[in-house]
Amino acid sequence: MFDYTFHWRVVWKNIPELIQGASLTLQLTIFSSIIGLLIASALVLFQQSNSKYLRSISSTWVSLARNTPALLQIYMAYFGLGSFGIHLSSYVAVLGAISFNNAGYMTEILRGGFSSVSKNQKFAAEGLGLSKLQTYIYVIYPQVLRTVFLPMTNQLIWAMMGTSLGIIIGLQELTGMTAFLQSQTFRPFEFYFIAALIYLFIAKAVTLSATLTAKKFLRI
Amino acid sequence: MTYTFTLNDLFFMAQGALITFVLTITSGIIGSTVGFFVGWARTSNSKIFYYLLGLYIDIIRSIPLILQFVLFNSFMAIAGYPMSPFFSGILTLSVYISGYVAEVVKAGIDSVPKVTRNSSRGLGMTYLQDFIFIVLPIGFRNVFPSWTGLMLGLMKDTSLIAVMGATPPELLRSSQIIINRIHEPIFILLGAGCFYYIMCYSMTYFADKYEKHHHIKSIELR
Repeated sequence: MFDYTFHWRVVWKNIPELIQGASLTLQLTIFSSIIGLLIASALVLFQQSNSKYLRSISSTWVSLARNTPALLQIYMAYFGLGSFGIHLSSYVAVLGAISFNNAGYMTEILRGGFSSVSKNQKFAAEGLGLSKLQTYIYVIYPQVLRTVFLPMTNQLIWAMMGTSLGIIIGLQELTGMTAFLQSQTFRPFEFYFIAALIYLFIAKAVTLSATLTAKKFLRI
Repeated sequence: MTYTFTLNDLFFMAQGALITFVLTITSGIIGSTVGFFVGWARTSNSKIFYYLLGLYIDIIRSIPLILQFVLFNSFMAIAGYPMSPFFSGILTLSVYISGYVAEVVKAGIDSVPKVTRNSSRGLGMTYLQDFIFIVLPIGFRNVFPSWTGLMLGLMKDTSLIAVMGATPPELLRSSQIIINRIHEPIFILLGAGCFYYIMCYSMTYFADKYEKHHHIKSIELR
């Protein structure tokens, strides 16, 4: 039944290219998470504001980002914006789409974090004579950070998996690079297996360092 | 000659939406069943089960779905059992979602207080009776919202089977086929987005209704 000989040497020879792809994946993951986090913090502030327009911007963004597939969002950025004469490179398209997606999910995480801090704490801080800024910095944010930290690391891994969709619009991050290499060498299983191991390694490294940080500094 | 969007194209997209729906239901049912047993096994006292199945869940959750599709497909090919992309897509999706469902099921079983379980055993129930009549109803209520969230994610993830060229085309793939013909990407993609939005929204709507009817309060899982 199993008459297939594995050829791992081909993969070994192409390791530098794979690592190059992995570094692109990492880069995209980190940038898209930072941009997403920045947008999400703004969107959360919008949600709490009194302006109806700001609140509707926030809710529209969140529901659009969460109710459509990431692949569709990438198509939108790459092919869709082309209709308006905006031609993005595949790198920028993936970065933009994943940031958009991330921002939606992170807004929900942050909202959960803020709602987990009881209102009484705010009143108590006020009663103790803290200013509004002091209340946020010393009372609210530290607690929000504790609830939000682990879900955020999960989201970071989601972002990493999302960047793998770059293959569809021809970006040579880890998956795209692997697809390219296997098409040259006709060794699909070996290449994809190693790529999967690299993804697993990155994800494990992120989770492990996050749990260690959480234990050491946040005492979760 | 210019091509325009016709009624046939709309039917084609609706058919794609139907395929997406079928994919979601099929792999949702298989994946939830497998995930239920995996999650249940993880709550048993056996450490071997706990760590072995933990590894299974870990691997599934940290490899991109796109890679899992291709890996599974090429593995079946070299093992001598080539499969149609559609069928292997359903299998991969089921395995993929089972990893997530297992975590939810475990959280649900753990959410039942120890005291409750002890007292049901104290009333003379067997383990199975306790599990079926006490743990399942309480746990199900607690994790139902998370489970619906997973199913929504699954619906969006079905769009990835297009990578392997699965036929019949699901929603995103069929809209891409139309785009190739009439070169009107933004219009078609917006339409596909609307289809997804409507499907997700109606799923959320029914889930909400069910939760309201059974007084389920969503509990944040961490």
